[in-house]
Amino acid sequence: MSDYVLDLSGIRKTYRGGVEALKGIDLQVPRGCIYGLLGPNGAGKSTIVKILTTLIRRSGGDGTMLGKPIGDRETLQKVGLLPEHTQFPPYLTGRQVIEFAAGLQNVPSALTRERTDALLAKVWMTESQHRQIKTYSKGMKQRIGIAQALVSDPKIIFLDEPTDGVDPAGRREFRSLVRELREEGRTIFINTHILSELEPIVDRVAIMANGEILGEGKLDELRTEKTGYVVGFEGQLSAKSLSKLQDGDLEVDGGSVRLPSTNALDAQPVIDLIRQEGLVITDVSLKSQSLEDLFIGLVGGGSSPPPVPGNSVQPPRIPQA
Amino acid sequence: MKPFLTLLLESYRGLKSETIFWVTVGLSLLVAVLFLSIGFDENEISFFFGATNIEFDFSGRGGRLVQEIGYIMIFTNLIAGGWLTFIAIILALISCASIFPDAMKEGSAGMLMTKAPSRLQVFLAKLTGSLFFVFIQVGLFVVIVFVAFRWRLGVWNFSVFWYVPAVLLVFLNLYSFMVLLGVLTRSVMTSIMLTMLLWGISAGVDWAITYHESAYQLSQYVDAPTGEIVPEEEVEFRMPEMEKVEGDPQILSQIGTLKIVHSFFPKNSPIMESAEKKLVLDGMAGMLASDGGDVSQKLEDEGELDDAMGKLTANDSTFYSIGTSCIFAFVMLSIAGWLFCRKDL
Repeated sequence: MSDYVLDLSGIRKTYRGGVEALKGIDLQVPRGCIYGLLGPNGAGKSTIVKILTTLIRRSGGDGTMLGKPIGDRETLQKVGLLPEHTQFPPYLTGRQVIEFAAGLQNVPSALTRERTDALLAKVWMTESQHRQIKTYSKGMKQRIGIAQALVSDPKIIFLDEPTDGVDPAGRREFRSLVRELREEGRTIFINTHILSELEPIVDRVAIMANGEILGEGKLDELRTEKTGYVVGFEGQLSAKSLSKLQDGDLEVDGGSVRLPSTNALDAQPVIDLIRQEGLVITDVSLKSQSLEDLFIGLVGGGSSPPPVPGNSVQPPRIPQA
Repeated sequence: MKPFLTLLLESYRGLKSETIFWVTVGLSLLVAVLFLSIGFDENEISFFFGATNIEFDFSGRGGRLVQEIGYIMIFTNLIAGGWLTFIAIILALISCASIFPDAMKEGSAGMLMTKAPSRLQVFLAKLTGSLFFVFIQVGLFVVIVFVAFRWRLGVWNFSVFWYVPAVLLVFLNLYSFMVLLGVLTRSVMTSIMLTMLLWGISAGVDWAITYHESAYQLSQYVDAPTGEIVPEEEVEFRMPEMEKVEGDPQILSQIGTLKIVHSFFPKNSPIMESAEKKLVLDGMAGMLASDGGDVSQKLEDEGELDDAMGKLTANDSTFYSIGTSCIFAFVMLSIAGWLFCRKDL
């Protein structure tokens, strides 16, 4: 049995009109992890999930999910999905939504009641189970959405923008629930553009923009690539010193210089140079890059990332787990 | 099977949650009860369970047979011809119009189409759910009418149940087109409007055929001395001095063209007329049908009808109307189903 629950190779999607939503996605998702797919709106994250759950057809490429070709109906019984912008029938109660999903997933009737009770408790919805969906808050709908995704006891769960519109308390509950699901041995695949949502829980992350994966790997490993000493200072560096630092592949950003090294000795020449300029050193520390830094570094700043041309951006090389 | 039944149940729940469902049920019951409220005795016809009466001496006019004819005529002209053929079907179409566009919305598609049932199963379950809704509505209505016949005339007239499959088929014809539009455009309003347009065109072609047939029949009767066509309003009075000749070939050719056009449309009026032909009155079916029902068929079989018209009306059989309508629905639903299974959602 493959170690990967998802193994995608060269997945492409071109919509009518020639819009390329996915430009050849290669992705391997190991079993039993929380996998985060991060990217700005329009990056193609939801398109991947929609292809995997047969909502849309791929234009090219191939892959397997739980060892079976993408689109296999029987495999979908072992897959849970919380779609983006979920719309449950508003006339159903929370409990009925879960029972409806159980019926669709062919869960035996004897198991349905038991599982529904357990899932309602798991998502803290037991008390509100008999209220109609239309009376629920966004957070409550998302909880019921997660519960219905779990009713067939899936091996892999896709959560597409799961905390969009959910309040901070709801997000904390969500993170705790996702960790619990991982402990049960399930693989959780989270699509999001909210960085802070992933950072505390994710095992592996892929960053994508404009239909391409720009970086992929364990979060720590991705961070390690950019971990190094940061020297803070007050004042303005001369053009000569600035040029010297930049020629040495150091990142100079306002009042700080970032070194690509974790060796304290490598920081000494930089400190000397700043002192020679008569500037005051305010901070010398070893810093690792946050997910946000990583994201912005790969995707580009601003709310709308700059277009990524063809194959000009090389994903960082990350050792496989 | 369980996923299919789950989808069916959900479709029914969905319809039940719509106000228009209850409006349709309520109106259906009201019309059926109004029919039930019409009563007869030897000297009068009563309405609203006796609240209003009209004096009418049945004893001198054939008694119970006239009452039965009257009651069946009210049923065929007002209840079946007005309510079942038009209003009930319009309400059913409006009620079911949103089923397919809603199922294809991003949020609900994620719930429905990503699970064990195939898209084809989802499609068939939604279609069956809609037909079941109409079946319930019409079935309930016809049962009340059936009871009314027994109560008012003392006969168990089982022939009224022919209206259930007839209305279902008329609905299916129009709904199949509506489903195709719904799947193509995902717009409820567009699918309703264009379906009504199809219905209008189909009814227009129906009417044009009837009009031309009538004109052709008139062209067959000429004034014996002069050879001129007798005006319609004079035919009845000048029958003895008229002779039958071959009808106008131009009209015949127009009828032929219209019939070719008609063959591509659902045949709603002929289908409802086929139910009318099955209505039993005093033990005989089709006495009140516009074309004479079984009587006309008998004459046709015996070669009594005009040859040229006979050739044209050979295609007017119940089998032809139902058959071509079923083909229409099948083609529409096949295209819609194919698109439903392949579309990106």
